[in-house]
Amino acid sequence: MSQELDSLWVEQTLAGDQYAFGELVQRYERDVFNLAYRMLSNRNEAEDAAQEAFLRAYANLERYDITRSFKTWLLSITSNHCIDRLRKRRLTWLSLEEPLPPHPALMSDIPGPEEATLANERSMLVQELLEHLSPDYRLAVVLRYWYDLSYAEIADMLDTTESAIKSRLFRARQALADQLESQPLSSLNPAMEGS
Amino acid sequence: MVNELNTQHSMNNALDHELSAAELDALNTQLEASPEATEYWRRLRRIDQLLRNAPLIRPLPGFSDRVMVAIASMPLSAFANKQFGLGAALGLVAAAVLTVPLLSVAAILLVNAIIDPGTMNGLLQVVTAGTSYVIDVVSDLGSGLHTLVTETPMVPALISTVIPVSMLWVWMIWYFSGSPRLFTRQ
Repeated sequence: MSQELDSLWVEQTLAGDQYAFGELVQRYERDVFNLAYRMLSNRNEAEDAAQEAFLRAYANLERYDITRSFKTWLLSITSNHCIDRLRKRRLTWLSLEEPLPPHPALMSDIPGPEEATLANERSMLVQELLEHLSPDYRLAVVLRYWYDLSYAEIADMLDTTESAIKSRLFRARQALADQLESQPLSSLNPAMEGS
Repeated sequence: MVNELNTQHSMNNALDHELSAAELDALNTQLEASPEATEYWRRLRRIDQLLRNAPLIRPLPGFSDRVMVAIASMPLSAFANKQFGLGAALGLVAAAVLTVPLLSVAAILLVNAIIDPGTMNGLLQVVTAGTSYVIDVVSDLGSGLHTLVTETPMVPALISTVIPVSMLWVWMIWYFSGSPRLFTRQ
């Protein structure tokens, strides 16, 4: 049903109805923004990247294969754009330490101040851990955990093989586990209690 | 070392729920035998849980509106651009295909006309007759005007006054009606 609705909105957009594309933006703004934020670790830059991803999707909508998932196609555009941004960032050698977002959990759906504070701490820790990964590894982790994509879907998106993705995720988990050794356990405990 | 790597691969597969019951039992046996592997497995599970529980971050309110404003302010619709490009290309191809044979036919006819004396003679006669007719018309018009000016001198004066006054009136009507453009861009 969701896929059919996406296809309908895509067709209407291609027929000249911009409002139909607005429906797609509203539906996927959170997914696109979250991917950009997890990759770039900066709210302002993530918003710019997410907006650019939607503009690129709009401009290239004719190339979209309507038989495939629109969400996956959109995430693919977003991830490519974020990787480009990270490469440019590296090339320009920007060593400015971006402060972590002060209240990411406040933008999530978790109710209550205590839960929000704990979620905030966990979210900051996750972001800190992700920042230590290379862009390719980070992307594999984000697509796997936040979007629940299979290895095959991620490989298709990133134009590589399933085994390559599996290997990236394996190494990424190893690196994260090593990183975790140096983190204070207090910030992890609330998340671990239920495990 | 190889054994350790295999254990880590097994752990990775366990996190993805890709181990059979037998493989899971084997992993548990390995973990019981090695405190280091157990500690490593504990950390991997922590990472896994941490990532699974991390929320989706939302953009600030009004994000979709800002995207749509950006799309609306794009200079031209991307689709229109592409359609124009394709249309222009097809038009140029069609023009080239049609122009070449038409020019060839015209050139052949012109050469034939120049070579044939009868045709050239007829053509010259038509040109001469046409020229003399135009001269006669201009001459009649000149003599008519001359007669008008000499017999009724008020008419030219009236015409030379009415024309500028009419132009002034037209301009004033146009100006006070908000200077509408004659040709508007779509």
